[in-house]
Amino acid sequence: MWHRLKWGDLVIAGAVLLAAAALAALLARQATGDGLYAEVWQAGELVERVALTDVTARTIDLDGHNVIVLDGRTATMHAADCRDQVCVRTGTLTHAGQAAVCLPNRVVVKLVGVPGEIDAIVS
Amino acid sequence: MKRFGAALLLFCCLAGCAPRQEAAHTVDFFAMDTFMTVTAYGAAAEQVAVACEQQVDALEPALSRTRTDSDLYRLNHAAGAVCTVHEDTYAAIEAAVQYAALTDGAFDPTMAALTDLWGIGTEAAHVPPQAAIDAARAQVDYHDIELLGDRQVRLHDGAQLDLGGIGKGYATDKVAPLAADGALLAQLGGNIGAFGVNPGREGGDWVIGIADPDDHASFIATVAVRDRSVVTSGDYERFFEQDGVRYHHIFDPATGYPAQTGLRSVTVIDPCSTRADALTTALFVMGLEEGLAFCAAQDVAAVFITADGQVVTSDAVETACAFTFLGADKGYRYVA
Repeated sequence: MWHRLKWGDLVIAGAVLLAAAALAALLARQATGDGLYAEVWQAGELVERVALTDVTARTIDLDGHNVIVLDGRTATMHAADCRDQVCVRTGTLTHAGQAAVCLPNRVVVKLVGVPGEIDAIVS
Repeated sequence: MKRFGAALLLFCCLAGCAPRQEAAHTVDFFAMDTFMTVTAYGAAAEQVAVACEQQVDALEPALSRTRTDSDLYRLNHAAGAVCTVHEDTYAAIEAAVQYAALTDGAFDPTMAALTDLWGIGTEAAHVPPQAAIDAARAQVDYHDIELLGDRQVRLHDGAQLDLGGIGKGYATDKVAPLAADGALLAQLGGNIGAFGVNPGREGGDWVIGIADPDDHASFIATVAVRDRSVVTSGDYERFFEQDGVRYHHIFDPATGYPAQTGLRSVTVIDPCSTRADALTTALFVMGLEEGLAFCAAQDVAAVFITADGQVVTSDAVETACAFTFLGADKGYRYVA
């Protein structure tokens, strides 16, 4: 069969493969979201939603009560004026589904977007 | 024309290989003194997720002991009188007593006096005088809970009920049926319920990371589960330090002190989240050796992380989930 193939067939096949790959990538992108986003919630309101890939370093200060640090890959509750410091002890968030929660101040930093190695962390 | 048809067929086949995503809806909310996230998948995702939040909110007055309008508050202040409580309150108390008996009191739902005395997680956290600990311990005994049937309960000898040890597990079990034919990932504080087929992962399992006690935003093992709850109790979230000693919130009913058994955390994987919730506490109090023996006798799937860096799994883990150890580069050692 191969000896019957013409250059035109190969060009069409190549174009089809490229187009299919592009469409598959687009669908995958739509399916999983465009990378990781950090969401900052305060008292049930969304304060910030930031694509981590859009920031190299950024600090979000919620009136001195909570300080959140973002970089290109992670989000961290850097400081808080709450009594228990559970949110600060949570450490650096790196995966979608993770959250650092300041219960006393009702502040949440969470990562959403591309499912990675895990769907959630239990702690 | 044939060429065009073949090309179209090839294009459709290849493009169809892209992953598909079911409709998903996530709700975040505060309830039961913690932060909760529920994600539902499928055609009714939004209705399911909202129904889960409503279910948890509806349970709060049934399970809280601090709300003055709650059944537990009324029961704890009834001075030994019989109280009629909500059916969820009664069911949760029944379950708590059952697990207290199963664990010979290592889990005990009458720890309220000790919890209040130590105040861990509050500004009042401190090491109380021994006399005060002894007095509080005298109020701890699950045998002092009398279940009379027909939703009637009586507490004896000053016992004070606190269902915090199973409340989120009970709530997880109550939202599980709401998933119906769809998929649901419920993260109710430290309790995770993973139900149905995960549409985002080949094979349909849910992969849950077990937190590193020294950096609990990262994980040192994963468990792949379906229709299971995964619950962890650890010494690293609510604690204070005094004179170089860490005092955490998991109390040993026998001593009145935070359990010092050489463990950092215990994770239980079980179809019943209430059971998993109670057993994480009980196994932490028992310690590794006694805990493993208990797991073997009761067919409990548990992952223990010790203070000296061991990660130990009970025999039942092998059948309950797919366990993957990832902690070697952080200095942990896996002991099957």
